Amino acid sequence: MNDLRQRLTRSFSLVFPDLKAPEVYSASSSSVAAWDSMAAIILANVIEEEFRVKLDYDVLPQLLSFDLILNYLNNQLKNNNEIP
Amino acid sequence: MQFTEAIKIIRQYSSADLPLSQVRLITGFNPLHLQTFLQAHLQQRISVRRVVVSTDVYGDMTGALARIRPSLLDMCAIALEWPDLDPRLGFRQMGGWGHKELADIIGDAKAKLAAIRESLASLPDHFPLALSLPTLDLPPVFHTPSGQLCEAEIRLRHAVNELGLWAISRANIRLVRPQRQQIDADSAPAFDFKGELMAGLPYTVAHADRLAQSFAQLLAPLAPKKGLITDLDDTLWAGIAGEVGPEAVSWDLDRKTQLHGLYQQVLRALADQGVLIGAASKNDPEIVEAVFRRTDIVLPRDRVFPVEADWNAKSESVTRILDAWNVHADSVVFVDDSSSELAEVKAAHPEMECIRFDGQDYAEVHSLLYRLRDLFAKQTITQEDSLRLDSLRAGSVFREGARSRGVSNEDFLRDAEAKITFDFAAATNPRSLELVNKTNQFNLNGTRYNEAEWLDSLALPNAFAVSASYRDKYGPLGAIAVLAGQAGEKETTISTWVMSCRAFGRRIEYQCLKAILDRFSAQEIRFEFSATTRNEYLQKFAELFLGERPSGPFTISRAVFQDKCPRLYHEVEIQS
Repeated sequence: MNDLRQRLTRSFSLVFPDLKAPEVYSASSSSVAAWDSMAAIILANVIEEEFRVKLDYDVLPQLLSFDLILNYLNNQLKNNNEIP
Repeated sequence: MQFTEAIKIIRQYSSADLPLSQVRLITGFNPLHLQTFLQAHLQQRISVRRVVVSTDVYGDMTGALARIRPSLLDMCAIALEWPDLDPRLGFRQMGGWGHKELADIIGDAKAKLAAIRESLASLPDHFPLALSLPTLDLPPVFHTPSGQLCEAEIRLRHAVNELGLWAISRANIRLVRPQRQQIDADSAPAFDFKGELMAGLPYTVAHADRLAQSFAQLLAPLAPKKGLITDLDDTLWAGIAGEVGPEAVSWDLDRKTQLHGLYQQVLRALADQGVLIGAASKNDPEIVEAVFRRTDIVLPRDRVFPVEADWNAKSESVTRILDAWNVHADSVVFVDDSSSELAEVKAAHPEMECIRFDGQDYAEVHSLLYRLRDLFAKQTITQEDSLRLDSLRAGSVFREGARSRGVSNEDFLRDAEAKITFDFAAATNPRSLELVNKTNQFNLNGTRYNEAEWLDSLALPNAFAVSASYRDKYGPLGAIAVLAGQAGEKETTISTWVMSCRAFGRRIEYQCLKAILDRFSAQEIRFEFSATTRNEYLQKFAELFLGERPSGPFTISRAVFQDKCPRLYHEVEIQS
């Protein structure tokens, strides 16, 4: 989970370079001004490449914060047996 | 390129203190991925500037074209898709499909294409522009089966192709070749149906990357490589000539070795466009010559110079070929079937592009044929291109002969019957800009220009550009030097000075300065010099006048030039 969190933090930092490290964990679409619909798609693409998962357009509206994305990834990767 | 990599490249340059390169991307759809990839691909090619790709309101192709301000931009990329011609040719609007709509759709598309053409025609002919005609499939708008081409679709495609045909005739417009994607073995689908409906993103990420790469290739072409050194056994031909004999090596369909014949065919075409082709082989030279004497060889012996066949390390042969060509390793491609030979050459010449020819992997060789064309691609083939090999061969033969006969360099220059022609109306000759952008060793400062920048620099007050062409009794070298700058009353400034490495050792550089001093009656020439990692030859030339290598801009007075200039034997002709 920690590794997952670190990798997700790197993805966030790449898409939102102005976000300081501690702010990433509490980042959400309402707290980060740059997190608009286009940034959400960019973030999804970066996460897809980092974690080799598919973030479908259907689920993007639900993934509105760092924690929500982390939980989603955790469940996805567990289902794919990629996390013990 | 991965999307993450593209973002990293952009971030890396986002705060760089570099001059900007302003690029406009025009699409009728959400350009998100295409914009990101285009910026990244261009940034990789234009590392001395910070590339900024801006977009206009999407969904309004003709309006966006009309709003292009070339004076504020460096270049423009336009990705046209079917819905830009009529919204009914897309999936996001429901204006109706079927035979009742077709005549109207075609009429609207033709009108839209005419408007696009009018907008493009109004742009200056030095404003670089890359145009992609529709890359995605048409929706099921026709009444015929989807596997059948109907008259309406042909009319539609014909109208688009007419725009392409017109565009290609414009000096500033380059067209993307959509079939390029099919060459890639891992070609991913182009259309993202869900992305189109959910977010207005019709391109898959992979397709956006491919198209952006094509745009970048057209807008910021890399300097073409100058030479290719090929291995022979199991590369230029199938089989080991020394083992099976010169008659038994093959490159044909009958013996299932056509891959090698196709490779020869590409090399022959490259040689014909002025690319230097050399051969480096661990082989018996007589056996190699025997293979080249075969009448069915596709790449004739006279297109290959030099052929280095011996039993020494391959890198030594490669080094001798580079010396004969007087070309730097980073301008040369080496092709060999052996991974270890490739590694050995790469270790000796790290800047050389080393490519494996794997005669067992058809997909790889198929890609290689196109890759070679890309590495040596040129917009135009000039007279100088066809002269290059002959002049190198003649120069090399003479030098060898002179060395063996004990002839001095002074005798060589005196007896060469050399003639230099200076053309002061060379500014718009494509060869001038080509020379400026690909010359490294004798280059005043390494500055590269796109066509618009070049023309802008020549629009400055009292600006000049002059090219020098050379010939001697061994043959013509063609246009081999370009100088550009601004003439002043007391001092003439040279901001660009390049000379082809083929012209070294003939005192042409002295004659160039003499021509400038004579033409503008200046007492001094100021050189906007900047050291590069490659312009050592020019630095040494400057040292002859300055007494030391220059570290920045320097000046040479008429008196110093006259004092240091050696005897010149050329006949000189001044044009314009």
